[in-house]
Amino acid sequence: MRKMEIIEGTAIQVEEQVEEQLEEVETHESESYAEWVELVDRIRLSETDGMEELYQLFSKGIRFYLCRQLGPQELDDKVHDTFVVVVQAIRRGELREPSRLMGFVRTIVRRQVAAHIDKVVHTRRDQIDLDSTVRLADPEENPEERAMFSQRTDMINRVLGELSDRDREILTRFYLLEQGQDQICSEMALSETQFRLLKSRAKARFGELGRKRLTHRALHAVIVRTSAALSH
Amino acid sequence: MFNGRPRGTHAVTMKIMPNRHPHQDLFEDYAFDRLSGNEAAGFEEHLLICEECQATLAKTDEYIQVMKAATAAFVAGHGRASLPRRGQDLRWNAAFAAILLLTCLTGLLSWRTPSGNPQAIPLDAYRGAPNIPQAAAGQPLDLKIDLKDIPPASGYRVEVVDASGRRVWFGGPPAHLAKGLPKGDYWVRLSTDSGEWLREYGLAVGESHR
Repeated sequence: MRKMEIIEGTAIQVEEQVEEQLEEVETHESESYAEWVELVDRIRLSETDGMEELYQLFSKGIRFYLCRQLGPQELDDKVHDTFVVVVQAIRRGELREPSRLMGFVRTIVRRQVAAHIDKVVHTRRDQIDLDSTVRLADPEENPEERAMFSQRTDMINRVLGELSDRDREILTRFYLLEQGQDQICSEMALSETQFRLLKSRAKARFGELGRKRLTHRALHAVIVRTSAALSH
Repeated sequence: MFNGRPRGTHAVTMKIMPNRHPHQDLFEDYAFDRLSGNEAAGFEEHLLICEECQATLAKTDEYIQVMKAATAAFVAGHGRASLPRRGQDLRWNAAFAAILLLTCLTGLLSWRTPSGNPQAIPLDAYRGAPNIPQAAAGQPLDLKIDLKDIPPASGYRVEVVDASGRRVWFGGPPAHLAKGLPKGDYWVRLSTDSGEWLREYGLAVGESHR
């Protein structure tokens, strides 16, 4: 009986905390939405500081999204074009609910991506006679980055051999075969919790083994240098 | 009941809120395109204004790429036996049987309708080659890819796509297309086993010369 009272008391405390946090979130969101409305009004009135604020708020996110979807080529131009489309659309009154400014910007950015891909496909079709050999743009342009990527891949490949068969299977299914959690759990007879724990443990194991290997390599390098120095 | 409202009414069930960082698990789900439409919308809207989560997603993308490459290299190095088999034996057997049946049928059809010797099509590595490689429609093709200056890799893959980017053939080199290709313009893409793109060649397939 006493235990039940304690448990209920704890549950009530937790619920109170959750309620407080939710109220805090709702207050914060109300303030945010009010700010969106005010910002949109300033843009509609073509106030320069409004456009500057919009740019500062969204340019990095737009740049990130476009780079991730389309690559780094001509990124500045694409970001600028997207920003112009957003501003013009707001001024034309296409944003009916200012509180939905983020969703509105997201929609425009996605349309820009789709339009760009469509344009590339058509351009390629028209230009097929111009060049018979084309090198694809490598997302990792920097040779140093390529070397680092290759080193990391090699290290993880070696570390994979040191994992248990089960952990390695989970990682292979999830990352290489891109199987979802449900399928992996079903075929490997795992619960959701077991799956998440095993995946996290494997990820942590990578970090641990990777650090050990790097430390071993570093020590080995020191020993070799020391031996070389002593031999002279 | 609590405060006049039923318990759980305002339970924190949303993992994604525009002003709250998404749960860590969602970054990989997003990278693998597994989020529902609404979840993806909330996630992307947050990403538009949160540099911290942009950095987290960038790290997640990198980790996934490295893991793909490493697991692919491990599987390539240890053979097909290292691929997960648990719970899939029946599927593998059925798939193998289907492939065997298809191979037999293809062989039978090939025997009954001779298709001629395969055309050897060299795909040059040099830019500005005088002519785009040409092939006849419907004839078997052997695509000879120039591996000059290609970075070494544990394995390579060849993908042939049509002018709209739709894949029409996929496999490892040597690229032998037993049935050839219909008339049209194509791109032949060379990549490593881990999916890193290396080269792309144009290929024009014209009228059959049968």
